[in-house]
Amino acid sequence: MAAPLVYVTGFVGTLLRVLLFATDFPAWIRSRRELVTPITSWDRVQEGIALQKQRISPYAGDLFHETPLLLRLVRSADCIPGGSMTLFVFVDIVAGIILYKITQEFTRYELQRQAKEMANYSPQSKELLHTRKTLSSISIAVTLIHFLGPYSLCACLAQTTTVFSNLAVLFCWLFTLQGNVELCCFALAVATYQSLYPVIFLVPIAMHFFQQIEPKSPHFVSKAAFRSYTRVLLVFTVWLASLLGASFVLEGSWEFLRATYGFVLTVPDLSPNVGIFWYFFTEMFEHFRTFFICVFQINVFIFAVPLAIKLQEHPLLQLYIIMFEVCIFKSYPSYADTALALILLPLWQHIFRYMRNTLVVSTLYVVVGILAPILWHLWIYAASANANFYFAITLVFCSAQVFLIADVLYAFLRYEFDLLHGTDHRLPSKEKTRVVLE
Amino acid sequence: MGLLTDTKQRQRLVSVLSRHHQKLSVLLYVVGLVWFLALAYEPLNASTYFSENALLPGLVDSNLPSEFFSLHQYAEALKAEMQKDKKRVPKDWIFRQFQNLGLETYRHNFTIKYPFKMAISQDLVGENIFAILRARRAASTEALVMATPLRAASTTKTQTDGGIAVMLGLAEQFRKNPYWAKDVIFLLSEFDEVGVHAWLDAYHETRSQYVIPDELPGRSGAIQAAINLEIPRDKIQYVNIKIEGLNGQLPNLDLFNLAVRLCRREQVLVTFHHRSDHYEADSWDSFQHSLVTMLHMMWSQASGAPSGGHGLFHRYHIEALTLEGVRFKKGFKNHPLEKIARVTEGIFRSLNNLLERFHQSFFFYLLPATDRYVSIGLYMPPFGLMVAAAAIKISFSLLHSKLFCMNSNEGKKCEKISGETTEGQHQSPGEETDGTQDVSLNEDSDDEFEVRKMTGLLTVTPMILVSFLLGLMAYTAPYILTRFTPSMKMKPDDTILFGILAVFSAALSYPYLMSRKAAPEDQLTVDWRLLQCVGLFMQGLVLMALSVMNISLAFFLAASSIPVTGFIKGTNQRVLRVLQLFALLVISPLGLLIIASLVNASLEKNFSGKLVDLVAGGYEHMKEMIFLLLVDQYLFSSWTYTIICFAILPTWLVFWAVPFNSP
Repeated sequence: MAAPLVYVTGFVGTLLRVLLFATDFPAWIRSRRELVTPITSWDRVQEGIALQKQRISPYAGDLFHETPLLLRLVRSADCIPGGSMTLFVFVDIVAGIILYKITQEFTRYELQRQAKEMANYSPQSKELLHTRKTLSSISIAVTLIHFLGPYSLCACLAQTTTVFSNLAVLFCWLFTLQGNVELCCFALAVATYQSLYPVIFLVPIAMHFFQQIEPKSPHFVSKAAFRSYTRVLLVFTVWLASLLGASFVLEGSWEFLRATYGFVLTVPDLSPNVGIFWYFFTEMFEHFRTFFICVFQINVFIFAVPLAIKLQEHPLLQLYIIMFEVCIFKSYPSYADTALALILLPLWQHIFRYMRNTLVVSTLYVVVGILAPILWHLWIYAASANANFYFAITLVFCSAQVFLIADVLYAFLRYEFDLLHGTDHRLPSKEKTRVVLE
Repeated sequence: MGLLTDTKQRQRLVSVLSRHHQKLSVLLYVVGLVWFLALAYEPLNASTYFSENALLPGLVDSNLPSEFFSLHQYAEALKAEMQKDKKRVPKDWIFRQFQNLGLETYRHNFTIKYPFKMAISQDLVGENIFAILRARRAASTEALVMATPLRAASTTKTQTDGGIAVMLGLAEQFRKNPYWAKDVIFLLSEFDEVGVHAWLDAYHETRSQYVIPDELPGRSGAIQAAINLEIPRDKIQYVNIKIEGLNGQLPNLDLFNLAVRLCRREQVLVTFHHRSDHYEADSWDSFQHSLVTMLHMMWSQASGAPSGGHGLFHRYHIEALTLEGVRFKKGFKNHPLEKIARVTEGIFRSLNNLLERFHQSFFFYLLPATDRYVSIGLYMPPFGLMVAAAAIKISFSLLHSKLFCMNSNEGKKCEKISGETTEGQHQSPGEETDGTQDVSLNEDSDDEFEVRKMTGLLTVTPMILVSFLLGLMAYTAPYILTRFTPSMKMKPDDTILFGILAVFSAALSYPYLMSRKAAPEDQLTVDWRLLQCVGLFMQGLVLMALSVMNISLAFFLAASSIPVTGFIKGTNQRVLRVLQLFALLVISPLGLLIIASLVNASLEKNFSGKLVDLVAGGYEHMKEMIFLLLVDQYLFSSWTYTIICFAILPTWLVFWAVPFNSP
């Protein structure tokens, strides 16, 4: 247990947030396109609250795109002065606690799995095996990144509502690891309700639960498997339906569906962000729009299929990769989504030694972090640069993320190979050789 | 992916590169530098052209009378008024003249709070005069500005009474004509740039801390372009065009072309940085001539200070430049004021044709002559090469640093990024059979991948933090120091100079402070290679970020610092250490400032060529430069001082610690 360090990190992180909220840094960061999207913008949420106070449906115009339940939650917090800031700091603290629990559960899960599969491993791969010691550093790394990492820090300070869906996803991870189908599906339903895309997490989660039921060589395409999948799907549907139903009752109309999910799917707002949609669709002729919207949205979901086939033994990695990939290709991504993906990266620290692009990727992240505001300034304020400059930097950001996630996948496959065949690769002629993944 | 996946090929490439990386680095730097400078050579740059066809330069017939009597009357009357009191500007007279012309004429008051309290205890009060000529064919949605600073007859700068006469004469002619589609605002600003700044702030209803404008009594639409006139009354030898704005921003190249084209049409000799074009194209002489012109421009742009009243318009996305009439000393061909009026009329008639804001043509360019330009696409590759020289150093330094070599027993490994340029092609380390690659390859101070074995990066973190803290100190020092000076009875510029020197020398000693703690135990000694890599990485980021904002500053910085920063190393030899420290001192922010002031002193017109004069002039220039840096920062929110404190100084301090470490 590396608890003291975790507590210290948590405390410092919380203090930092509270202190920074007192400066005018949040006001600046709240206008950053890289962090704030039309859906998650705090300014828009406040507009929504104001409209609701005037007894006007916030969804009537084209301004507010958050979900009805979140609006009510934030509104009640906003009644007290400083309440909203407290809420955001509180959410981050809860997320920190959940993260800590996730790492504990993950440690348990990995050790269990390792014990079970030890028989298949090569005797020469001892140095690759998990031990309690190697796993214990995960929790420190995760909390460190969560509390002091710039992305999650800025997401909290900018008060993007993404942190709520991020929290739901974290809960989903926790309950998945604990094997609690009902709560996991509830968390997933909340995440889906908030930002729609997490619906695709159903695939790895259903596979995970089936794997839990039948630990001995599960057959993923079988009657038993489908029974298990159906159960998860059913529980999830019930939860989601009740959330939507509650929203309908509160709102009194289905108007919010168009303003939230319709907004996510049809991408009408093309103001710049770190994603790939906005530039492409501003350049697009109108009559191709529908077609390419479909292509881009399918692109987000389609990766679940090959991953489900390739990584069927490892639903958690599958879940992680899908999560990362959604945060790259979703219609309104921001740093807040990246924050979630990076926080959980240390879970795979055992494969880091096989990663090849870490230096490039981390450089690119830093470069984007510095250049994006500058290019934005040059484009919007100085007007000497243009949209292409900013788009270039968002492309760099996307490439960095794609590099990273491809690297994680590669490193994992490579790690598995070494687990099964040992780290000392030799040809039949006893000559040393190296393994290449083609 | 052939190269990336074929490990043998890759290994060979890596080992070749790693053996020769020092040479390669030198080669890249030299090629980059030579290529950059060679861009002034005519075949390597392009000739200017009009991208915005709506300007139709010079296609309209001039409506000015062939004998422009009223202009001369205004000039004479103004001369008489100005002679009455040489220290004052006849503002009331000018105000009345505009009013008599039937224009909406207003006074605009503003207050300057002096940022350094002690020099002038009371706030300065200034007054701008401006007059709006309403366009007959539009609803005041767009406007053009003709500006000129109000300077008394006794001024040491260029006199501007000719400009005022031109304004009055043109205002009289303009209002007779029906074709104006944009309002024309005639702005006469007091205290040069400060008045312009106050007026623009009031016009756009923005606020700044030290210049406080009153509310504007009258206003027009969005300002499309501005021409600033600094024209003396008579004996104009040539017109010099000034373009460099605040923070190195430049006006659209089309506006510059327009001014040049119209001067040429009226047979007015036009120069850029007081240098006319070389008559002979494509020769060694002409290359030298253009190179010097280009360097003059870059020198002026690199300072980040506006070179005239036009410089502040750029902040509000208004294209602007200054036409400066230069008087000759002895007999020469004389351009009468009338010609300047015709040029200005032509420019405004062209601007009147604009259908949309300037958006075509270039905003990022360098000018080796009035009719040649070097665009961003041309100057970025050589600049990229220069930065790549440092990037190569990073990749192979990391190879040798302890971070990587910790437990490797065979096979070289490297992570190479070939670029602070955004597309980092990479050479990946390959699938090592022994799998000894270190976990913590992360280079940045971000904690994205902070996992374990952080020994490497953790050791240099305090150095980086301290250098940023020192940067913060240097940033706040002038403000704090000047609070104390009244009791010390020193002039503000002296206080600031000495204060900054003190902060700087304190900063110099920080490696000692760090090393004393580190000395007894072996584990805290810093791996200088890693430290250098971090420094080079920061330097690359700084240069890259600067290159898109102010290429000239980035270029001078890269050209001066990369040869030193790339090749310093930790050493035990005393001589070598001292030599390295000296080289580092030369490229330190203060060292560069001293060099810059010496260059400025030698560029002065009445420079005698004696060393004593150079040093004395250099000292004065340095004092003035630092002072102006701060004044620009406080009054106009220029970034140069901020960049020095938070980017250039911390980076340099990281390098400063390198030679103190033993290998």
